[in-house]
Amino acid sequence: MQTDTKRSVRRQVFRAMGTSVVLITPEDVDPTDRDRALRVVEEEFAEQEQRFSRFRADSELSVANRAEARPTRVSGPFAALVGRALRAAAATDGLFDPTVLPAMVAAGYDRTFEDVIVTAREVLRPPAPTGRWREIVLDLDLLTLPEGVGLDLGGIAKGWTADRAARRAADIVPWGLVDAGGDIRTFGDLPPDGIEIGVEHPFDAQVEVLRLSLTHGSLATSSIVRRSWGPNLHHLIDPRTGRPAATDVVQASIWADTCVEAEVNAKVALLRGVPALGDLAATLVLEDGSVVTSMPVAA
Amino acid sequence: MDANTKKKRLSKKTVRAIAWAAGGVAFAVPWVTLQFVPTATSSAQGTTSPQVIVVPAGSEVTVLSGPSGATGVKVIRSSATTTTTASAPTVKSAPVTTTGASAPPP
Repeated sequence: MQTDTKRSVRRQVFRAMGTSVVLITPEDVDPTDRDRALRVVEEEFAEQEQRFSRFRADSELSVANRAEARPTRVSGPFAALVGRALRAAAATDGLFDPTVLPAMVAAGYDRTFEDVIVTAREVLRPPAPTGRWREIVLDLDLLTLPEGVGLDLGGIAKGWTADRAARRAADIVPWGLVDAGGDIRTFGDLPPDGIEIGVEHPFDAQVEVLRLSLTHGSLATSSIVRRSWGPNLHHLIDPRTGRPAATDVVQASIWADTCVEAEVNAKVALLRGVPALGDLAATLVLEDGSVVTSMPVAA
Repeated sequence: MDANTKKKRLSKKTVRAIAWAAGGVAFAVPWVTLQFVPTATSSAQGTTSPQVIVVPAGSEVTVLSGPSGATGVKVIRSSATTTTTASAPTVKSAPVTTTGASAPPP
């Protein structure tokens, strides 16, 4: 655990969903409340990881993906996130696609990232078709996936869990943030001048691309660099091609009210490139190292 | 010394020709050598190592006008030249946290 004396905050770190999760709370919070907040955040991540992990055979997601076109009864939270993912797919005209799992597996990301990088492969298998989210039927708690379709809710589940965990922590401590591997959700009444967040350079985490101040909402950062396992092999599938995206944007940071929204738009911004700056509060790092932002600049 | 055994001196013209030839060879050797140095290839080609793109740190930051609804975020500092009429002020304190994309475990 680390304390930032300049900002008088306390950082508590644990691992979940294949990444580090950080809970940041004010230093002057009652230690009992801080520990209680950490417990509920940890519980939330553990519960949702068990529900949405595609690397656990007994997860609700794995069970649904094995159903082979038969209707599957799913839990309320599962149905809620699938519904949210389908709405995001419709809103982005399929640029966000929760059915890219077969394409991702075809690209080589068929095991946990740690295993993928150990046995990295050079040659892509033929791309699997994507865009089949339109064929998914969700009728209350009854989910039917078409034959050959698998859901991957990894990124959006992480953001969604950060949103839920932050709401629960807000009942215990006055303010803070939950940072789940690049998905940041603030909660409570933050200091009036906001909290400062440095955006790391995708090629060198020691270099700060920009310093941002958040007074509320969420910030999600997505990159094609950090989870890459070979030349042009990374986890961001372009639904238009079924292959890892060929994009000149290597990192996108998006601000939005919720972490789910920011997470979805970060993926979309990587695919859309600079035009995404017209309607998203975004900071993009381009392949040539240049940085473009549409976030407002402090006076 | 016997005149028959006396070494014959080279003419000025010959010495000058030899000097020019030696100079020419000395000049050409590095250039010829460079032609045989193998050219560098990208480390990403033909390997299974992760893609590496080297970019200069401290790149230019361009600020474009974005959506008006982004009320919860402001740029308060850029690490490099900000090409905007409203340059962000410099702050020296450490941020509460830094963020990047989700990375695999160390």
